[in-house]
Amino acid sequence: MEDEIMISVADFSKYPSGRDAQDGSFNGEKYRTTVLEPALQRAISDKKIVCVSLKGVMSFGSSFLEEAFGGLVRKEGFTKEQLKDILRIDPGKPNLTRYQKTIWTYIQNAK
Amino acid sequence: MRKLSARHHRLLVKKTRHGNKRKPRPKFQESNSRFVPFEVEVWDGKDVETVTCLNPATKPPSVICLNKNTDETIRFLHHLSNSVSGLKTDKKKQTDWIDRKPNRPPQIKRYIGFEDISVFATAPALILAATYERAKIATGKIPPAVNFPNWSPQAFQTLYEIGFFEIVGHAPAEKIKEVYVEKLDSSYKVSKTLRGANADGLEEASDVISELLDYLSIDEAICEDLIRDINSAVSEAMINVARHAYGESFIAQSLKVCLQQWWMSAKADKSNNTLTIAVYDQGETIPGTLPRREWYKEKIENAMRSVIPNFVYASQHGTIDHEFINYSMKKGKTQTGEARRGLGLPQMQDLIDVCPDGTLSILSRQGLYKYDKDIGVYKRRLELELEGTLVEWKLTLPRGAR
Repeated sequence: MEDEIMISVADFSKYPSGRDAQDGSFNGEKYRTTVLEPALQRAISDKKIVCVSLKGVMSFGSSFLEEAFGGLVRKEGFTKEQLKDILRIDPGKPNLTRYQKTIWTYIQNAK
Repeated sequence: MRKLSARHHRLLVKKTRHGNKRKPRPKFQESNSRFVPFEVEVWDGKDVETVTCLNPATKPPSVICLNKNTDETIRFLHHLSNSVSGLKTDKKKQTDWIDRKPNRPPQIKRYIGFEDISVFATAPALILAATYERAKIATGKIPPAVNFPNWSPQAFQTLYEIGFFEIVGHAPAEKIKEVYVEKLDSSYKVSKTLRGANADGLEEASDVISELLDYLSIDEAICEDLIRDINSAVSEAMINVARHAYGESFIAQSLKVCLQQWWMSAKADKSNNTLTIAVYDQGETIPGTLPRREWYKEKIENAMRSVIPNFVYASQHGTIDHEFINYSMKKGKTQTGEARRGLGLPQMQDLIDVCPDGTLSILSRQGLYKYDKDIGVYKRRLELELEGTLVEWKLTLPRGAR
């Protein structure tokens, strides 16, 4: 869709894990600050939405998901309502739907 | 006249009956007269050498398995950790595994005999390899393998496949490949030990798991999802090591060399279609790190005082370690006290729930925590401490359709 900015977690890493550099190279903080947050800012200015694809990712550690997505609320200042409007999680496969739900839970629980 | 004390009275009665003779102590020579030092063959990766062994071989239990023979296996690993040197000072002393002096044959004090091992599970083999790796680094010398052609097939195959010989510095181990081929049981396969400091080793671990699932001929349709779930759980184990196992104060206070890493291996067994994955570290342990924060101590003390009046955390060292592990398995329970954290350990358990059948075992310090998909949680105190933390998943998989 033209109104969507498509990004794929697998382009960052097929094996993302951990919160920050202490945990590993492809961590949630790095993904949030280098990929996710810039894409969301662009989406706001261009009046688009960001679609994050989970297809091809081979690990979904809770630390990575909470830091990357929950961190948008905790650290980047996005509101939960705002994210519902500008962020879409595409599981890519039916089997990945539970990770899609997990991501929204982390966003919802973030303080 | 002064009254005799009871002790003095007993002494006088004894002297009257047996005279003033002391019970002769057995002489050193006599007490050792049954044991005669014997010759063994040692191999340090170069040449086979005959040396004299001064003591009988230490016999591990024939079943070295933390599931089937927990306490005896822990006792063996405890003994191993204390007897195989890993002390920080050892390099300075330049101790050697083989005692060499002029005008007499080389000697070793003792060795561990693997001749009678009927079961050697992956997790204890991994711990053994980690213990010897540290000892090699602490001493700067390669520990020799003693009488390895006589090791039982189970012990030899497991240690060979897990990469024990390479880990302790026997590379290239081609020389012993003949023995391996001779003893090989092709109904199971153990992966080479991987090591790392954080989750950067996840891709390599994933490849190993993938290979083993392929070996078990697991249906490709479920393979990808299974590997993904395994990776998610294993990555959290790796992160736990990176984040909690080797704190600065622990490293500073530890008398032993800290390699600050995790060790991982896995086993695929065709006989029961199981995949076992073990991640081990030699760090501060879950019960050791969880109560670091004062808020946590207070919380535990308040909770426990309803059961044990005057409960003080420090005095309970070891006795409720299984409860600490159990507590940390609940979502949001961690040393940081933040609800968004402490998700990793529960996710390790989630893997069991998404698999058809399986168990998660966590052994840390003196606590054992086991989660079985059918039975639920089982926890108890271990007789002796395990050094560090072991996380083991045993997954029973559906028979392959390939």
